[in-house]
Amino acid sequence: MKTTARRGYVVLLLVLAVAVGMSVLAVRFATNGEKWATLRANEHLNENGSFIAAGNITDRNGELLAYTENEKRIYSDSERVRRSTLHIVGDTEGYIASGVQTAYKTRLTGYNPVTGIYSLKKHGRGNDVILTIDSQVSAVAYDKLNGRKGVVAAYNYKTGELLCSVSSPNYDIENKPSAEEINNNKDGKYEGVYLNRLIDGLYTPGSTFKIITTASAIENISDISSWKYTCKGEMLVNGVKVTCPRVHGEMDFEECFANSCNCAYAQLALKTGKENIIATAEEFGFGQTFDFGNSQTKASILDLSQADDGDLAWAGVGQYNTLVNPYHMLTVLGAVANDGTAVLPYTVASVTTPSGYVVEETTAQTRAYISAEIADAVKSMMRNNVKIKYGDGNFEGLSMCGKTGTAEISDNQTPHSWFMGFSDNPQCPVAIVVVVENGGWGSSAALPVASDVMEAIYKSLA
Amino acid sequence: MEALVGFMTSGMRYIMLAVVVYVVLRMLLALFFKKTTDPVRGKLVNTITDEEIFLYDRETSLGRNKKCDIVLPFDTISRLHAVLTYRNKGFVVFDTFSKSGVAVNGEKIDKKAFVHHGDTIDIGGLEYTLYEARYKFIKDKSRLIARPSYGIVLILIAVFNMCSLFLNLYSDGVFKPQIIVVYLGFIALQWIYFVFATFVLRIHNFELEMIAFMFTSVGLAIVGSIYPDAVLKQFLAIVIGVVGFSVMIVIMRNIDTLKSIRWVLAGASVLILGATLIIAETTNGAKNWISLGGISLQPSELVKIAFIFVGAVTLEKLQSIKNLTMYIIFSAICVGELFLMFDFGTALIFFFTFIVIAFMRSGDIKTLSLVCGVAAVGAVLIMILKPYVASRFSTYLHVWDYMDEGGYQQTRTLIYSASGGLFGLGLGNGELRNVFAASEDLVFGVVCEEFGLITGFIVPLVYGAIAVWAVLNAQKTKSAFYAIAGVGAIAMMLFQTMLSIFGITDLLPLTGVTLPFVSKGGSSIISCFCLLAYIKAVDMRTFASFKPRLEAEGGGEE
Repeated sequence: MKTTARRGYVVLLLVLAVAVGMSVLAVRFATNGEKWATLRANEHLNENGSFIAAGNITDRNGELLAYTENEKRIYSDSERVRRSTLHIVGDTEGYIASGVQTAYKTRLTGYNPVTGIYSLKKHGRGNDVILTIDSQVSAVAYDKLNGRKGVVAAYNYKTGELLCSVSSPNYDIENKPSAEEINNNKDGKYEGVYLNRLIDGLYTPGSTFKIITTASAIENISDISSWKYTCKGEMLVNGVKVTCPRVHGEMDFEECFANSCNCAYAQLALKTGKENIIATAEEFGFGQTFDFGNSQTKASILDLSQADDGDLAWAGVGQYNTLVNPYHMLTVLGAVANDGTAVLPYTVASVTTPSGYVVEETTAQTRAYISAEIADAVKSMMRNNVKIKYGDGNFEGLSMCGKTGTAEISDNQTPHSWFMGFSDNPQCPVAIVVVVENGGWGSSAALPVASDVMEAIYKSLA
Repeated sequence: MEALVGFMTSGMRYIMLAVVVYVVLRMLLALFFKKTTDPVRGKLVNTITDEEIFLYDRETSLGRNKKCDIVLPFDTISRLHAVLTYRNKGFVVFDTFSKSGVAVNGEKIDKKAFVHHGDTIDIGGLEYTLYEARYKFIKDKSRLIARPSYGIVLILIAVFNMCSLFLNLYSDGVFKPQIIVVYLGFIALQWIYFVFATFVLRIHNFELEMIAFMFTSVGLAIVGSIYPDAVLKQFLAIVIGVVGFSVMIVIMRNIDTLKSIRWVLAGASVLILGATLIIAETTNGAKNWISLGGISLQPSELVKIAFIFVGAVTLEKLQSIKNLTMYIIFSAICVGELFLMFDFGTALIFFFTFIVIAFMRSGDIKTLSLVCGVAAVGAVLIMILKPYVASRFSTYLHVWDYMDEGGYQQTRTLIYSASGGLFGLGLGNGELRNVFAASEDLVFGVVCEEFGLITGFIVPLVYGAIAVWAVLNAQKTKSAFYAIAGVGAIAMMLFQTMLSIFGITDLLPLTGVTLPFVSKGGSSIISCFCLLAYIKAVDMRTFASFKPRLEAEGGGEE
């Protein structure tokens, strides 16, 4: 009898198996619970594959950009606002991966491992998200792009709040073109329509790169302030011809920057040296990625490893194979404007439960790029550009600093038009990047857009 | 008013969770820390040396083998020489095929003989006199944990059921009178059983019943919420289950009568499963349901009760492997029939239970390894010959790749369990309930989603704890039958729990079996309560009051 009973101990192996299995399950719920609960198949959150459970998304002024009513997602009633905020707000199907509705899905549902999605069931909606975006400013930017592809992004370089971020092409989310229409379109109308060009874009910088070359020259050439250059309209480097649109004649350093003289900057790049240009670019964050919501930005690329002097000359004026990301360019401006340290732009100000409890509040991150002296020197030269070239009349009251760019992309295409600038007025500490794809001259396409958007921002902050 | 209802509804999920946690923890503590008494049934005194051997157990084995209860290390003694059993009529000695034989009062016995107080037993030349002994050894661990008040526990379970009543009464905005009948009826059933068991069955400890009532309440809450039309039927099955439980408690008190019906039960089991195989129509891929006069039932659930019984009745043939053959044949037929019904989950449960019981009976690892080997080869052969059987398990470990096909049930279970969090979304607020077999195979997921992961995880862990308790206390049953039946039944239940929960969470292949006490299903709930009677048998207090009373004279030795 005793042995019989003792043999029952074999059942403890089964108990052990159950205990191990339940432990594995507990670990899986702890680690994968969030992923599982927010899957599209979860009908608490989704209706016919669309994410309906999110809370309200509002802009910085409390204007509703998206909310759920009767299990349907409803967006701003202005088409201009819907289109201009499309890539920031995102869609409910997850095509726009970096959009808040996809990237912040978990937080929008209010899921947490302790109470699951109970808050959602109780309040009928998930957590609310307040954005830093100003939807009216975004609408102005959308108007000014006027259907052209490109990016308009502006942010407060003191706080990091992204005030405006418009990516084109876009579509009206309330009248979304069918997937076939988007995929089968041949004329490029919807080229990269799901991408937010601010974070996914990579463009040839053109003359805007001269900001980097300038900083590098200041950093590495001690007598740069007395340096002079005479432009003859073209120059030969190692058999490669560098050209300017016109003959600039004799100029000092400041005038070379204001005239955006290619020959002078080719010469400067050679004078500064390849290693120094690379070092300065890396100080400025080239090669780095930045977190934006749950996405990461594309890293700007300056690859001079195979470059001879001719290539270096072209790289110095922002051509060669250099590619830059508009978000990164915003941080470059932020650093120049803010004593060498960039406050990184963000767009989700806070996440709150429907009962008002703040789940998450964004605190801006910073990255130190360059010294305050160099930043100030570059800043005063960019201020000079606006004063003597672009005209303060385009940026009234802003004490604007800036640099245009006209990025050659291929022989048979109109160049991309760039403007990068910031206001030195402490009432309006805002930096702006405008890229108009195939827009032509920086001063003719991007500059007017920047002018109107900065004016709208200045008004909104007043 | 609406706000008040809303407040009560959201508060109820915490009340229900608190009740479940308190009841199961309190009952487990009481189960593990309890007062036990060890009555002595008699003593053997060596006629030459005056050495005393106390007899505690209903079966005591004697022999040269170290595994015997009383080891007699002499050449004249066979390895397993004799078994001395204690029945209501007194002591009986069995000669277990010994070489030198057994004699009572100098007369050599044939197979078995009664032994009375004062008689001498000759075992291979060793002579003992049997005396009456009047001692009780009391092990009292109750100082650690006070005896629980079952009244309070029943009131708490009633609170849980009143919550179910409140939440299910007007769900979907339709008034459902049967909800009132069922939940009030279930509360009444528990109290009636409590009074009946206390005064008629003379049971004084109710830990296992309370845990069973608690889990049944969770299951009934879900059935009443998802299938309000089926809730009356489910309640009737619970009534039958509780009656069956009580009847079995009474039957098992008389071990002597049990032996005679084992072949009847074995034959009936084989025939019932065989008949099912012939007359059942295939539902959801398995031929395991039959319909009799409008009542559909799952015969394999009821055969479980007989299966444990047949395996446990082994009495006098302790440690002998010779009686294993018939049991192997019987089990093979049962498992085979279940396999032919494509009810693989139940077949596996029977097979596992067979292994546990056969091992406890014989300790014959060699034979059982062989049986496992044959079974494994058989299973592989079937997979090869009938590929569609194997295809059933093809999504195992790949459920996320087949989310909307073969992995639908598993992925939805994981998604919605995660959605519930630790405290659940509240009864009626789930989504998993809309998935096929939600309240049967997927009920673990529904519990997790609506009652929370804590409640969901409590169920298997409590069964595991009961299994540990049963194993540790099997010896105190003083009878191989109680030990084997109790350990076998909880092993069966725990194994089924494992298949059910791990199957739908993709830790094991999905076999589609129910979660004991929680899943919907009449046959299942009846079977669960009857199996509980076996487990109850491990609790020696169940039968304490019914044993021939011995006066407590000696003190409490530890």
